This record gives sequence, C-alpha cells and structure tokens, in this order.
Amino acid sequence: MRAGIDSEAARWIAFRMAGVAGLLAAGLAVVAGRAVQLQVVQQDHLGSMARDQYVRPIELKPRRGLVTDRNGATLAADVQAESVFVDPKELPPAPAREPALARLARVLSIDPAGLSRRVAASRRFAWARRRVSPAEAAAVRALRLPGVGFVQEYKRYYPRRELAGQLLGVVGEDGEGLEGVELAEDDELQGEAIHLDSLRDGRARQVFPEEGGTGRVREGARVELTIDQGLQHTAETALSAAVAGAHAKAGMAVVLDPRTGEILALANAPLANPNAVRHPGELRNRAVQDAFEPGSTFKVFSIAGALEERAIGPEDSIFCENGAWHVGRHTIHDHHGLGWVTPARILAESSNVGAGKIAARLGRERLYRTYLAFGFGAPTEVGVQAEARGTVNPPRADISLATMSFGQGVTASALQITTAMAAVANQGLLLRPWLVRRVIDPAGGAVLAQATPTPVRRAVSPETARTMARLLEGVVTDGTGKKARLAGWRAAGKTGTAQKADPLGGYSADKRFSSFVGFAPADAPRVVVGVFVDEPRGDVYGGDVAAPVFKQLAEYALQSMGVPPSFAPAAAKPAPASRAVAEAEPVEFPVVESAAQEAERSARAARGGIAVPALAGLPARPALRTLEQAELMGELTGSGRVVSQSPPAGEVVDRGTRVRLHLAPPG
Amino acid sequence: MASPGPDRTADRGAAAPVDGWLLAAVLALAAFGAVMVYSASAVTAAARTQDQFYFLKRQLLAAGVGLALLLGALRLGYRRFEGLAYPALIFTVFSLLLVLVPGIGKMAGGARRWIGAGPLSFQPAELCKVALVLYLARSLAYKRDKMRLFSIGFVPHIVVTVMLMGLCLLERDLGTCIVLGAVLFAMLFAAGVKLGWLVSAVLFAAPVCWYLITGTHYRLQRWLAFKDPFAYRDGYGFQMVESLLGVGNGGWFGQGLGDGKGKLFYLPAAHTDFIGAVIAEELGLLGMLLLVALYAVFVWRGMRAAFRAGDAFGCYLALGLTTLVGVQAIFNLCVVLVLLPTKGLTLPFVSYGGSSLMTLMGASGLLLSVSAGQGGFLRRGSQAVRLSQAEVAP
Repeated sequence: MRAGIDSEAARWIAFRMAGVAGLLAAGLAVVAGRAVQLQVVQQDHLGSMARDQYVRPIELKPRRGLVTDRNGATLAADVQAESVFVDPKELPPAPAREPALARLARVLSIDPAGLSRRVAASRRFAWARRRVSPAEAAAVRALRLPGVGFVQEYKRYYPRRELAGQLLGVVGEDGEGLEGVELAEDDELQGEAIHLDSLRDGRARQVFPEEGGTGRVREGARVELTIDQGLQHTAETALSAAVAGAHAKAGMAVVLDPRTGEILALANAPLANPNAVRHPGELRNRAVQDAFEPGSTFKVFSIAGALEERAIGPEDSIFCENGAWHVGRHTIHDHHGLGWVTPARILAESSNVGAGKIAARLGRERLYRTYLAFGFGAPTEVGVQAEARGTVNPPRADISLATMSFGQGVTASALQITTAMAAVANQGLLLRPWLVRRVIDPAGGAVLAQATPTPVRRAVSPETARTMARLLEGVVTDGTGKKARLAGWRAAGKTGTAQKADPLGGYSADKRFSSFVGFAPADAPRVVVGVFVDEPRGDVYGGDVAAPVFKQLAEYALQSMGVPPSFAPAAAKPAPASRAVAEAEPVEFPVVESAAQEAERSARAARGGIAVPALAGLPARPALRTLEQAELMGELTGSGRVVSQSPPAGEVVDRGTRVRLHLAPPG
Repeated sequence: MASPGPDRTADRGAAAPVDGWLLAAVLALAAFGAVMVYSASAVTAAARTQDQFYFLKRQLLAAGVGLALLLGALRLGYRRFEGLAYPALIFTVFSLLLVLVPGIGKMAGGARRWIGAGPLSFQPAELCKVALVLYLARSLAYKRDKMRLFSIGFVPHIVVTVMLMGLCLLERDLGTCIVLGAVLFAMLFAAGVKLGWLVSAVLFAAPVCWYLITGTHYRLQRWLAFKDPFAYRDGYGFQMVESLLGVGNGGWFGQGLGDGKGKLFYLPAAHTDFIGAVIAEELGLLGMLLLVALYAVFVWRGMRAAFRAGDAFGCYLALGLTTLVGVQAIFNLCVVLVLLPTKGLTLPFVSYGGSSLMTLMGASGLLLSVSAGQGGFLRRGSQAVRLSQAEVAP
C-alpha cells in the first residue's frame, strides 16, 4: 500500500491535528469573547470616548445685536474679522517649528514665547491671535506656513470710538459682554445660538452633518439706549475741556430727563475708546460705580427735608454765627460769614453753619430718613454692573448731624445725586433712572421690551419741591452758581466743593471734589444736569469749575429739545455761542447718516416692498446674512450652497417675507 | 459555483465534488472584504487620488485573478504541486532577497516588502507563507516514518523556516515571521515531532524574541504602548486607541455600513491591517461574530479536508493552509482588539492587498482540491475507493 501508514500512527496524527484544530477554535473563541467585551461590556465607555473624539459640539452664534442711541444712531456693531489658529500636528517638526512660530508671532505682533507655550499645550488647536486686521491676515497667508488656519469671527466695533465708552463697555474674546451695557444687556444682545454636533475628521476638519444648520436663530436683539449721542458728545467734550482746564484727575457728567428718569447722557472723563482698551480700569463707569463725599450739593436735600417736615419755614431767619459755629469740640466755618439770613440765602451763599443749624432743627432721625427718601444709600438700579450704593448712616453725634447736612460724612454716586436732584425737579417724585429704552428684534422689528418711567417714591411734596426750585434758582441768579446762568432759560441748581477724605485720616488740605447739580427751565424742568470734577487745581470751586459745563449741557439739551426760552435773551452775547454749538453739531456728527438710513427705510416702505437679493451659490450663513440685511427671513432646506430660491431674485416683496432657499452640496 | 449545502462528500463515485462549505466561506470572505475595503478606503482614496474607488478596483482585480488561480489550482489538483514545492521555495527565497536590493525593493510604511513597479508590485512575503506550507507538506509526507528522528524530522524544517523568518525580519515583517513560526509548529506537531523538541525550540527562541523586541526601538515602544495604549495615545498607542474606540463605538449592531468614523483619517491602515476595526465599528458585534463564524467555517472545513485527505501530502497541505489562514486571522483580530501588540498582519481574504488575496485564493484552490478527497491517509472508511484511484492516479 503506497500510503503505507499503520492505524496506530494515523490515530496519533489525527489526535495531534485535532489538537491544532482545537487551538485554532480556541483562538477564534478568544477573539469573539474579546469582541463581546469591547462592544458590549465597554461599549458605553469606549463609545463615549469615540464620540468625544468624532463629534464636536459647535455653537453657531448669531451676530451680536446693535447698540444704538435713542435716535437709532449705531454705537456698537459687529463686523467680520478673521482669527488665526495653529494646528500643532500640522506644523513643521521640531527643528523648523520654533522659527516658523517666531515668524508667525512677528507678523501678528504677539509674544513668541506665549505662542510656543500655547502650541505646546494643545494637541490639535491653539489660537495664535483672534480678530486680526485684513492686512495681518494677508501677511499670515503670505508666510504659507503649514498648520496655520483661519476662522471667520465677528469683532465688536464701536464706530464712534470714545463716545460713551465707559457706558457701552466691551465684549470678550467669545463675544460675551464684559462691561457696561454690553454686559448688562448681554442676553438680549447675544441672541440664541444654535447648537449642533459637527463631525470632525482625523485631520481636525469639520464635516457638517446633513441635519444641522436649518431652523431660525433668534438674532442678537438691537438695544436702543436712552442716550442722545449729540448730547453725549457735548457732555464728553465739555467735561473733558473742564477737566483738562482745571488739571483735574477725572470728571463725570449726568444728564437726565426729570419727567421720565431717562439718562440722556452719562460722561466720564478721561474718555476711553472700547475699540482699543489700554487697561481695564479706564472703562470704569465712575459716575455710577464710584461713591464720594458730595459736599454742599447735599444742602439741597437737607433743607428740602427741613421744609417738608416744617422744621423751618422758607422765610424763617437763621443766625449763621458770622461764619464760625462751635459744635462740641469742633468749629464749623463758612467761606463768607453771614448773620441772620433766610434759607434762600443759606443756599445761595452755601453756608455750612446755616445748613448745620437747619439740620439741628430737623433732628438726626428725620435728616437720615430724608436722605433715604431721596434714594441715597441704596442702588438706583439703573442696570449697570457693580453700582455704588453710597453710605448714609444715622448721625450719632451733633457734629456728624451738622456735617452730613452739607454733604460731608456721607457718600453718594454722581448718578444718585443727579437722580435726587431730578426728584426735586419732578415735583418731589423720585424716578428710577434708566438707560435702555427698547429692545428690538432685528428680524421683524418687533419690540421685545420697552422701558417706562418707574416711580420709586415721593421724596418730598410738590409744594416743597416748588419752594426748593425757587430757592435754587436764587443760587444761579445771585449766589455761588452765577456761571450756570443760561442764555434764554431760567436755571436752578447748587454748587458743591467737598474736601476729600485723606487716606491718612481727617480731610485733605488741598484735594477737592467740585460739582454743580441743577435743572432748567426752573419753572418747568426738562433737563437735569450733574457735573462733577475730581481734584481740580487752581479754581477749585464748583461754581467756577462745574457750573460752566452745566450751562453748556443744559443749553444744548434745551435747544435740541426745542424748549421755548423762559425769557428773551437779555444780551446777544451768549446766544451766538450756543447757536454755534448747535450748528457745529451736524458737521461733527454723522446725524446725517442716521437720517439717510431712515430716509431709505421709509422710501422702501413707500415703494411697498424689498427686492429679493440673488443668493444662488452662497453658503447657508452668508445667504441668511444677506437676507437679514435686506430685512427678509430665510428658510433653509438641504445643505451646501444655495441652488434655488423662492421667491426669485429681484421680486419685490414685503419686509420680513420668508424666502425659501434650497441648498445642495457643491459639485 | 457550488453552493453551501448538506454534506456532499458522501461517496458518489469516482469524481467527488469539492467542499461547498469551504468554497462558500472563501468567496464570502473575499466578497465581504471587497465591500469593507471600499467602505474603509473611499474617503482616504478620494483624498489621495481623487478616485474613491481606487482601492476597490484594485481589490476586485486581485479577487478576479485570485479566482482564476483558485480554479486553476483546483483543476490541476493539488498533487501536481507536490513537485513544485522545492522550486517554489527557491523562488521565494530569491524574491525575498530581491526585496532587500535597493532600487528593486520598494518601501512602504517603514518596511521594505514589495518588489516590482507601479501596479505590478508584489509582496514576496505572502508567497513565502504558501511556499513554506508546500515545502513542509511535501517534506513531512516523505519523511513520514523518520519524523521522530531529530536530524531528519526536526532540524531541516527548523533550518529552512528560520531562514525564511530571518529574511522576513530583514524586511521588518514581524507578522509574517510569527505566522511562519506558528505554521511550522502546527505542522511539525501534527506530523509527530517529539513535543519535547518543540518546547525546547520555543525556550531557545524566547530570548531571541526578547532581544528582537527590546533591541528594536519601535518594537519596544509598540510593546509599551500595547500595555497601556491610552498613555501613549499621541505616539505608538494612537493606532490601538483609535482601534479600541472604533470597536467600542460599534456596539451591538454597529454604526451602519459606511457610517464608521474611524476611517475619517483617525485610524491608520483602516483598509489594510485594521479593517477589522472598521467592520466592528460599522457592523458591530454582529459583524464581528459573522466574520469569526466565516473563519470558523474555513478552519472547520479545512481541517475536515485534512482528515479526509487521500494522501499524506494532501493532509499536511490542508493542515498547513488551514493553520496559515486561521492563525493569521486570529492574530490580526487580536491586534485589532488590542489583545496583541501591533505587528502588521493582514486579515486573510478581507484586508486590501493584491498579493495576499491572490496567494490566499490560489492556496484555497489547493485546499479545495484536497477537500475533494475521500480519505485514504488518516481515514480508512472509504479506503477501497481511494485505493483504486490511488493506483490509477500516480
């Protein structure tokens, strides 16, 4: 037999072959078991790690809303800007890497060490610099470095530069409000972001899933402030000039409408440009966020309280000790010594002794309650972050009662003082000051929120308020506030020159806080203006430093509101000056621009519709943006680029009409 | 084509049909492979060559050639190849040496494994495996009675195999080397070589392996990465981590054919060595079990063919080829499932690779040819029929 093998040997070989087969079967069983272990037992763990890797949740943020003044002039807007990032994995390897990064850092004018650190710390993505200028972006492209990419982002732009800088605030790297109105109205301005999961491939490129990207976003809403940009500009210019002229440290000005509580202007000097913030402190809105010892302007409120409580009558005579009054171990001095005088005179001459004596009649408790009634010691709730509440404590001694009556030993913010003065101007009714008039959906123009005047409480009776207005008019006509006299309108107000507290204790010998707070016209107030100058040198008195600014602002405001003059201007002297300001205005400010925009809008409305723009070939987001600019709504189907639209391009439709876009992947 | 069905090997006269199960398993694996190669490679192919079908076309071409080789081998019958064993071995050694010649051998992925130019490149290591099986089958069949002699049954086979393994190592092809070793041991063991010699050989090889691993930087790193892939995620562990994530992401039923994410430039060699991870991710545990089942059918019917082989050469040939495919499949899937460190082995019939697919399909022709046997070597049940054939055939 050729095969010649005995059955014993055959059995032995078969046995061993069965062993090999068994081993292979065992191997396959191990594979199957491991598959079960990984795919069933560890499925959740590994699967979630896999999704972390493949899926990137992305947020499509709508364009941030505009901030405008009360007339619709743009104060803050988003513009497109490119951001530069680095993919460390795609960068040239070790020897060539550092020089490449150094060149990138030089072009972007950033710190090379910081860039290297960021690149070393990340696997696939590190920002080089965000929101670069077009020139910088072009320079980076010219470097042709592998692993350097661009992302389109929005950059916040403040077209009027310094105008209301501290009021508007700034936004952060991710478009989130950090300060000012940008922070306070952040939710409205941001709108609703769309969240979708994008697939990311191993080369860190995004692959948008089919089902994402449709649906409508709530755009960032437009926030309309109560500010009037012309008045704001006048306030900033006049205040800056006064601060510079007095070599002062800083200045603040607040302009309110006493009948509503609207803030028409709120200026801080030195000015700050939110487009290029040099250090964070310069954006501090000191008029709202800082409290200080106000000085004699507080006599308005202590005397108003005394009149209200009938502690004194308007015609009572009070002995002013000829300028030096001993209270316990202390002596209170007046600038000009007075004898027996009425409250009108005490205010006009700003007598500390007189105010102290009136407060003594009013008593500690009632003075304290009067200050609280005028809103001191509590935030105004104007809607600015970290508002100063000021400190008003019940006086514990006769001397503190006396000093509190003329505004030492208490603190308040510029806004609080101006708001309290507005209560005097508004028949004694204290209104909450406010900054945001309306919030508007840019898509449909629907008003999402509309602010209305909010009474806080009655501070004093209308009679007392009227009496105070009369007394305060005297301050301007023949008292310390003569420089606040207006060309054409009766003005009322009060000067203040506070000694600043010395950090070492007691009061500083030379540091002053000078102010003027007033309103006009005195008989029917339309505007309340507070001007505050911190540490002026030379002319330190509020009547000299702050009152002229009041005059400029009040005249500008009354003129632009068209308030008829209280009397014919006595001399031609002041009139040309104010007219000059008024005339200069439109040239200096593109009020023209907003007028043109409005004209265009109304023309469009008159034509009865809007021509639908041609969108074929555009990707989804630019198409939606184009529609948004044309005040139309977009509705997307599919993904990729626009292949058809309905209604077709050129058709005239109503504003807000839905335009259906069909998208398909290119190619 | 024969379709899988009930046992057809019952005696039906002289011309016994080939094993339908085995043929079905081979064709199913190759077809499954083509589908998965397309799924795994379309994105990479489109990115690299602008043609998403680039790898699929080549794989289908190789499958066509492979099918022709399979049918050719089947028609010729395995016995004709017995005489080819030594020429094939010499040709293999020659081509393995040729690979090492700069200018002729081509590099890819740090390894020098190909010869030829352009689309006609070939990987001699693939041929090497089949050549070794042919050589061992012939040699073992001839030395049947002397297998228990150290100098005749053991030494020559060890020497030839170690030489081939050495050549593979020079090509930095540890995977083929290990498969060759496994096939050698399985065949020597079955042929009756004393277990003690085999154990000593393993003990002797152990320090060599240790040196090979720790002495080579990348192998050591791969080993360390294997022990804790996530710690080496940015380096040598990357491929393993991506494979694990893909497999885990598959779950019970997978992400759906074509919907795997690992192939999107995450998983390196997605269409070749790590196609198992793509299958696991897209078809889930179900797909993996189907794959394992197909290999199990192959091993089962291959072993069955060995048991029923008409002669010793057929028996050892069937055993060797079955072991070759089985071991390679198990090792590849163990690497994909991170049970073994990465070493560069394709998944037989499934992975992209013309040389591998063509060689394996040709070898399957031999195996099918063996499967047509009615017994005679190990089984005496149908000896009578075999005997009459055997006397006519030689």
